[in-house]
Amino acid sequence: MRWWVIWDYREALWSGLQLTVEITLLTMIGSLLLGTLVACLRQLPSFFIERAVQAYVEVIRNIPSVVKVFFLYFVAGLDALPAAVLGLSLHQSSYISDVLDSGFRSIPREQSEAAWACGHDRRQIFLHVLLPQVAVITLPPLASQFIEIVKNSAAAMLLGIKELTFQTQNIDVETFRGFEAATAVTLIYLSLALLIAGTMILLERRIKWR
Amino acid sequence: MTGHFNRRTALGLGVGLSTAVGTAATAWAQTAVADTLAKVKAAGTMLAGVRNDCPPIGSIDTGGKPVGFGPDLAEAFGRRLGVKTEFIPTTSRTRIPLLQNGSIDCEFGITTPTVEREKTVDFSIPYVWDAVAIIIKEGASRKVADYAPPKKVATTQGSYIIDLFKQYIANPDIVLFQEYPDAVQALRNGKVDGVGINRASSVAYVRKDSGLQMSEDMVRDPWAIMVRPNDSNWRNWINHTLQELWKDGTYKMLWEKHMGEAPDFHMFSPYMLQPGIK
Repeated sequence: MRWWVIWDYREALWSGLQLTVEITLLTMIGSLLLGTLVACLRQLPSFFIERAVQAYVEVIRNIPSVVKVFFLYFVAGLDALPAAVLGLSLHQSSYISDVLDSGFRSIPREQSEAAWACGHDRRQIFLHVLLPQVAVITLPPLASQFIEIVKNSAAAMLLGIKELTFQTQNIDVETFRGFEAATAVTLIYLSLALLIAGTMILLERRIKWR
Repeated sequence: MTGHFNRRTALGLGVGLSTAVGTAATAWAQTAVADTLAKVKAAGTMLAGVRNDCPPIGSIDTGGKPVGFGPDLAEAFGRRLGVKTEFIPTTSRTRIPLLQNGSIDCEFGITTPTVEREKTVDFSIPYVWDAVAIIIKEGASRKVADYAPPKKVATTQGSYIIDLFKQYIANPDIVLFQEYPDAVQALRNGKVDGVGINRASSVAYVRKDSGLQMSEDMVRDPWAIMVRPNDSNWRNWINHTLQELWKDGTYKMLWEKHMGEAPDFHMFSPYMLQPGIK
């Protein structure tokens, strides 16, 4: 074992980590916004919108993330980074919308009816009664979705983006120290995932305490 | 107290398990270096690494079967030994790890012997003499030096063409893909301005009416069959068989079948085969 190759490549790994974090954060924001929008649309009492949203979720969920990223880069002609972020955001948004939708379903119907009886309109019920509760209920499953984004971010490598997995493979091809490189990248991804999980737990505790 | 003990036990178990896995992996990697010729004969199967992204050297046909000059030549080697040839797909990035961990016995790809690679693997005598150039759009400059930024050039991760770019182009902006078809697609879509590639592999992309052409050559490029280090029996057998296949015309026939023309080089030396070749 020659562990010092990791130290020799610290700058490459650091720049790869920065790119991975950038892709992950942008994708988290994109997929959360898109997923929330889709989940909210699902709550509307419209047959047409419900079917359209269902079709969106099914189509997006059943196409591999790599295919989406390739399509946006090679066919739609986006640059590498926007193609990766948008592709991954689309992909995760379908899962996030499912998570949020189950959150909405878990709230008893009586709450909305009670708010309605108290004179609140639909918008107020949605924003002040349902959404805050959904946010708290869905935090643990959302953490899993965000961790999934960290792992899926490696697909950006296929477009030539020099993120963490790309840099690790570079260590492998330049020094042939694949085991050391793979171990290092495993630990880095694990730390990122634990960081997200920890942050979400803290967030959950804070919201519940309030 | 019990909780504390359990945590300690769990930690100990974790560390122990990791060490055991690491030791087993190292031991397995070491046992992989042995007499490959004897191993192949005993197993009745030669595990040949072949490219799946470099037609006509190696690619996958519509039925998912490896085809090209590499697989055909590997099969000719297998027939000489009287064993079955099993094809394992490789890329620029995976070829050396697969050889190291014993997943392949040899690689019939587009691998150039370099000093850096020789620290980890061994090479046969050059089995193809090719050249490296850049696929460019029709009408673009054929001079390699003209591909400095803002122009972008692409190749695959792990390819030694990255070093050639740095040698022949001032401060090149290099985009690295995992496979050649992706890189050529990026060229077609205007994402990059050129794709560094071996001339033999370029045949699949630069055809009549493809809108693509080749730049001037950067270097003449030898390819060798890659084997595990310190395995003379196996390497000698490959070197000798290669020349025998050249002598009996099999090599030329396979080259013409895939390249559409006779090879413009001679095996072993420009004049003759290695003395003693039957």
